[in-house]
Amino acid sequence: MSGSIAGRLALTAPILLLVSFLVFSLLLLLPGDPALVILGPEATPEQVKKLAAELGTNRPIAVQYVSWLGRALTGDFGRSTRTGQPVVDAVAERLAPSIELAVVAMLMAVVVGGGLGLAAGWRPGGLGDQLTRAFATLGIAIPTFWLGILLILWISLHLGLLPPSGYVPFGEDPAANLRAMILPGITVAATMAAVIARIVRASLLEVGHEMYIVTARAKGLSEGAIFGRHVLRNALIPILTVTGLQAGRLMGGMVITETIFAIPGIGRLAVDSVLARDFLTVQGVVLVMAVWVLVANLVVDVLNLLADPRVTRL
Amino acid sequence: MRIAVNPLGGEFAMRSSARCLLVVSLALALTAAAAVPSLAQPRGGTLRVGQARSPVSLDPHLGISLHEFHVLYSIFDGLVAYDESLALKPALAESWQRTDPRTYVFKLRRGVKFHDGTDFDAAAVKWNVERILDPATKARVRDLDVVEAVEVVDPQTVRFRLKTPTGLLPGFLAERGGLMVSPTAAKRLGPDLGRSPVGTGAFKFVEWMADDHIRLERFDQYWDKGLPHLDRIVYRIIPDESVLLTNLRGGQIDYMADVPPKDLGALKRESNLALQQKPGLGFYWINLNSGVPPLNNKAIRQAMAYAVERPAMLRSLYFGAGVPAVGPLSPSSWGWDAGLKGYTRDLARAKQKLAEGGMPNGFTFKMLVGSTPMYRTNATAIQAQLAEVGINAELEVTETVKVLQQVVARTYQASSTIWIGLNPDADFVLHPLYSSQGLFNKDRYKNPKVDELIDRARTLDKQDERKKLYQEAQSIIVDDAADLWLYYPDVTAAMSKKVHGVPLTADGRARLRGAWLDK
Repeated sequence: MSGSIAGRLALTAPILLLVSFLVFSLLLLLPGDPALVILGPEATPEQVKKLAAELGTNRPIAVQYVSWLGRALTGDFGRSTRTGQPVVDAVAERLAPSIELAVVAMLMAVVVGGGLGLAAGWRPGGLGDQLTRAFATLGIAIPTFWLGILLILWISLHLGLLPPSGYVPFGEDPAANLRAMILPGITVAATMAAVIARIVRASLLEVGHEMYIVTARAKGLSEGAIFGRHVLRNALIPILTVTGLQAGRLMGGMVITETIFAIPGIGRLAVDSVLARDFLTVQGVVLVMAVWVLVANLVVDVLNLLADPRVTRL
Repeated sequence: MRIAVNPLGGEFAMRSSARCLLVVSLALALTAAAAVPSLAQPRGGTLRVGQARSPVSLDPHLGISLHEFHVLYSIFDGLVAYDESLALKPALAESWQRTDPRTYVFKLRRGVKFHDGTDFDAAAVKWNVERILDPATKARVRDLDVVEAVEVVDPQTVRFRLKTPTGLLPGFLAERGGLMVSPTAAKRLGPDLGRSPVGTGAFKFVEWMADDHIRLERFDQYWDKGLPHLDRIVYRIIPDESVLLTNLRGGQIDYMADVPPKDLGALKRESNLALQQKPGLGFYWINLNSGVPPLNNKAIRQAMAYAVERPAMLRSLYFGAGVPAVGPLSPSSWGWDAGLKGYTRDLARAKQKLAEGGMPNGFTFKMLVGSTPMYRTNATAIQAQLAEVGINAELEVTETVKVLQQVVARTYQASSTIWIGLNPDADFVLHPLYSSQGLFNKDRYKNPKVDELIDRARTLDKQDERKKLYQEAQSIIVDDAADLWLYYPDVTAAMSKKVHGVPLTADGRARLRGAWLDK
């Protein structure tokens, strides 16, 4: 088993390489040169050409990529053409808030979504089931930005319970940090919780109809024992997989929430950088996000390996 | 000191020396009470400012955005500054004189220090100007291109030699070109100066958490004694405007500039907030590329100008928070011509002009619209208005960068956008946009008479003389319908009632150095 984990880890580098090349190419295919953004509307086409030559952005895509890769392998990810700041610093500064938001949201989604799904799966057709299905529909249908702003207006402005926006580093004031993470966490978690609730419920129901469950009931096991010992464990695999995939998609979905709640995360950095054609920063952010997705997928596969004795390799 | 008469005699007899002390103390107390008003403002406190857009760099020579000034003006001083009515006043320079058409001599204030202890003197001024002019710096400041050389006459005196006779230099030195950066810090930090700025301003830089906040604190050796009153300023970056407003209402921030027009009504009704509003210097407009057909035809442009209904647009799209536009100079500019009649909606005249221009059945053209929502709102309204005379405007809504690309390459026909009114000088608007040498006008609008007027006005330094020339130039530009100016949006600011000392200026730039908070 450790051999296959090492195998998976070994795949990470080629995957990252491929991702970085694809993203780089896509970015360079976009019309609009960073030289233009730097020089602004008072530029002349000649000035733009000159600066593009200086920046090296007029060279063929493959050449630019290889040049970037060469420096990246030494740890030099260049400087942002938008702010002049080293890309490594720009990304590193913004990782903590985004990761924290992702973790908080995932915990909320798993607890709430999982709990609701369990309630639904335990008594199909009952009150818990109906509430869960309603919640799931709402959670998937409600747009993130609308939910976020609504939460801010109701809970922060009208009730005064929580701060409306902003981020406080955990080291500076743990209590304030957590308070500031509640509303954005809910906003990000809503859709994820809905999806998790649905998959948990569906998975539980499906297992509940399996022949071995009927057998267990015929054997005389109590409903509680059946649920706890057989249904849950077998339902776990699809739940883990979906949760893992959702976690992987988290990073990308946080842009809107980060913007509304004024959280200085990498989602905002990514958008600002794309709009400014700041290729080097976008590469930095994308690589971080790719690592996140790869790690999430690896964790899911390892958990599957542990949970399901039929799975013998990753 | 012996006092001959003892006013406190009798029951209140004291030893003469004690009486002496008492009278002297009373005299001193009375003098102190009549002292400078600034002693009455409470000292201390942290002002929390909210803004939607983060500065990209705090190096004043590198950027161009207006919103960066809210922070820059707290950290840096210029050689020259603006007062509340946007007239020029001394700042780091105590006085200046135009000794001949191409030479200005500036006398600098004594005893000024940068935040890092470096002395501010003529050598520092020379270093700053040369830095801006050095192509390697990639400064976006273009004003100072007129400077041939900067000479240190003595530590308190700088001489500027100009390439052409221009009376505009003091005004240029009230903008980014005049903001003074510590040469020591710049040499030490290199490209990182933009993230650790060092100036001479009332507040020194403490920290900048990217996309989150910027923290400044009082500079104790500030040259303007008595200022600043505040201990600290914290700028919070809150990208969503409604969340920004919620922060203000909830008391998490104390001040915000640029209130969205739709919220002005609601804010006026809030009892613990104060609102400031006045006409700004900028305008929303449709930029017409008069260098290419069909817009190179004056009659066609006039037809479009006659088709636009400005007051209605202002009322319904911008909540009336502005003034319908006549030409490029707003009512807040000293070049404003109250007597100038622009175009008002007249569909008959519009159709007549179309016929005159050889397109009686109208025509089709493409209008670029960048990503700011207001540009699209304006463009859609104009499209509907022009359609009534048969002019079909095809809107291309796209990223700002792509609009920029076409504008710079002059492959565009029209673009719905805004002109940010930064500077009250009429030249600031008219030269870049309407002079054939203008930075934003190459291959676009050409009128030799306008060029002559603008160039002549540049050589003069008396405002009333220049005003006449600009008003004449403006009336030609308006008659030529060079562009479609829509309306001048108001500048606004909203703050907690505890905040004082921040007058609203028509350039929309917050000057916080004199601010104070009620205790």
